[in-house]
Amino acid sequence: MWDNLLLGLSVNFQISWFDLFGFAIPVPTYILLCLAGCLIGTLIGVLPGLGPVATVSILLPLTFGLDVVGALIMLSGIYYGAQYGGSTAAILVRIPGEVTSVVTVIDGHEMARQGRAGAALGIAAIGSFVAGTFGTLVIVLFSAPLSQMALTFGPAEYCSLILMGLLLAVVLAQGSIPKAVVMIVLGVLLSCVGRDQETGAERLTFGFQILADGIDFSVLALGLFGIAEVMRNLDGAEGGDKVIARPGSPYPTWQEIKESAGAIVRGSALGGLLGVLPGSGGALGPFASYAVEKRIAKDPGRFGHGAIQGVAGPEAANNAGAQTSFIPMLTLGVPPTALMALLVGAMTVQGVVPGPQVMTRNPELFWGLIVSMWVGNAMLLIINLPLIGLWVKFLSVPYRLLFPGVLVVSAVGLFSIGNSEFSVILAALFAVVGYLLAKFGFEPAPILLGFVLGGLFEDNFRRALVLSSGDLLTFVERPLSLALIVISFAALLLGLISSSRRKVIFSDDQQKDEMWRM
Amino acid sequence: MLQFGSVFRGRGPMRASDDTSAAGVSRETIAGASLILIGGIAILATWRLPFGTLDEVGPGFLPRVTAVLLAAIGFFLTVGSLRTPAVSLPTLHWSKGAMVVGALVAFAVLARPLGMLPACAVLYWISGMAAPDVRPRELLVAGAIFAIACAALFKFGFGLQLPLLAIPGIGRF
Repeated sequence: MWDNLLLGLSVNFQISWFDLFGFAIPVPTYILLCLAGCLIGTLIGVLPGLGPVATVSILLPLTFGLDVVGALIMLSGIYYGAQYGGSTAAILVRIPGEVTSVVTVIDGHEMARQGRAGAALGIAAIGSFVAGTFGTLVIVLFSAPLSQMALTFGPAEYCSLILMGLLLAVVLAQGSIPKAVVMIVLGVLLSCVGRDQETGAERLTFGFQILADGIDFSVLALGLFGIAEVMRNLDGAEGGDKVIARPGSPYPTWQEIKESAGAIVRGSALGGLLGVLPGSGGALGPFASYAVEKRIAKDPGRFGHGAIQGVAGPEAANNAGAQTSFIPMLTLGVPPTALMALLVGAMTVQGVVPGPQVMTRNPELFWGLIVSMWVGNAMLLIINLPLIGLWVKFLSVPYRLLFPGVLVVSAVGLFSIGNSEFSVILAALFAVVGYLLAKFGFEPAPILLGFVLGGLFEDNFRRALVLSSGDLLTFVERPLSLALIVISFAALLLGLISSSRRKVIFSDDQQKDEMWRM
Repeated sequence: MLQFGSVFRGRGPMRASDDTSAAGVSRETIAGASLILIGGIAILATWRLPFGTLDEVGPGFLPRVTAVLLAAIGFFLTVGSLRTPAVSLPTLHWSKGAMVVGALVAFAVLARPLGMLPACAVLYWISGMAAPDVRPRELLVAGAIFAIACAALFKFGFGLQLPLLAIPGIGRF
């Protein structure tokens, strides 16, 4: 095993000799490619509306001129960079680029509003690096057994897992649990908009042809979070030089790092484990981590108001999941998400067919890629810690000049989705919805989770029933599925019982309040 | 004793203060009513879709189940909140929000006919006017600069299929 790691390291730190005016110049090409990928990926991933998938697909052509190893190394750098860029946008301007950033938005942006944007960004970077290291180790040691485990997951197990995920989203709620349930259900309903995959029937499109492919995640996310946030800020503004985040120390303090350590470890484990599961795994990691951190925290009332564990845990889970989601692709040749499918496409273009034989036939490629993941994570940490100072500076621009800029970039980004003005209008509509939701005491975050999981749930539900010839009992007959269902309801019940006994303290109105009276 | 209405009120992000008047309308009432409405519309819209059978689940299944669920929760929310003391409704300062929405609509309308530069600039200017501490001249300049930078980035960086500037009758750049 260590030979393989050494092989991977040697591939990454390979030096090519370039001829410059007759002098042979040693250039560690692959390291530089990784660096370039991380940097570009981060800068583009920050742009609101451009999630990791869009970023990778935009930058994919850049890699066509490179050899296989170089292309994949650069792509993975872009991938991680884009993920971190998405987290940056989530923290700074409350725009989740992807479903995995939704959780970061909750406490991360609160921290930014309290002037601790740098700490949030810093802990996200550190947490991600630790998680990435963990993820790489998991891949090296446990690829084979983990992919076996992933194989035992049938549609019924997925349904139960998704159900667990949906119930987890309830725990995210700061407000009343039934209101969170409403939001999740609404999200699932929104996921039904568009052409049904199995039958081709058009649902809930109301005659709008553009909706036939369904609502785009970015449209929903930008509207409900980004634009609605701007509207909310304008609503409460009294005047004067408002700045989105007060300048504070740009980096997390040692105290904060100590506090987050546990969350990072737990998040890495959770995210790493769930990330192996194709489809929903990557999305569930951060949510699961948030739920766990909130449950075991001494004063859970901090969550939603800038608890650093609410950023550290989910970010670690996010990154660990991003790493381990390579496992099904590398060992089975099965791309678990759209993003992975892009990478598979890149490999195929280069003439490499991903699958179990890659490990034996192209060991330098396989191990070079794995080590490059770790190198990429290290690179991200090195690049981003100084960048944090830049971001915080960027935030000191007066809000009156900042928010129109956010709107412009968002609008252009939205327009590029389907090359249509409709995306902009639809996002504006969702923004109004998001604004009203906040005013009426609902939270938008569970909608996004319900939205993403709704489609997956339907697919797997149908498939499970087809496999069992219409037998509903299949969900409880299969042991793993039953176990997941039991865990979800047990967790929900525990959450309900304990919350009715807990008194929660609000930091803004300084009131003692009960979650609900039974 | 289960106090239904308060179950839903929870501790949402923006709580209006409770007052001790008689049972009546609060924001949960309106919220619940809206949910019933949305659920109802969804049910009507998916009326024709086949529900399917258990071994062949149809396209109407999930939309209708979620719509019914939504409407049901909405019903309980409305009823429950009507039985609890009336709470002052949240105030909506809709003028600012309307400017943001209007600016976005303007962008959508202008993007193709006039190109990215004018659309971005107009979006910046209109939405910028919503700021309470707006300085018109500063806004004008900032908008112009930002529009140029943004348009250039998306046009040249991402190859967005939208002209920078389109002057009707003359041409598209």
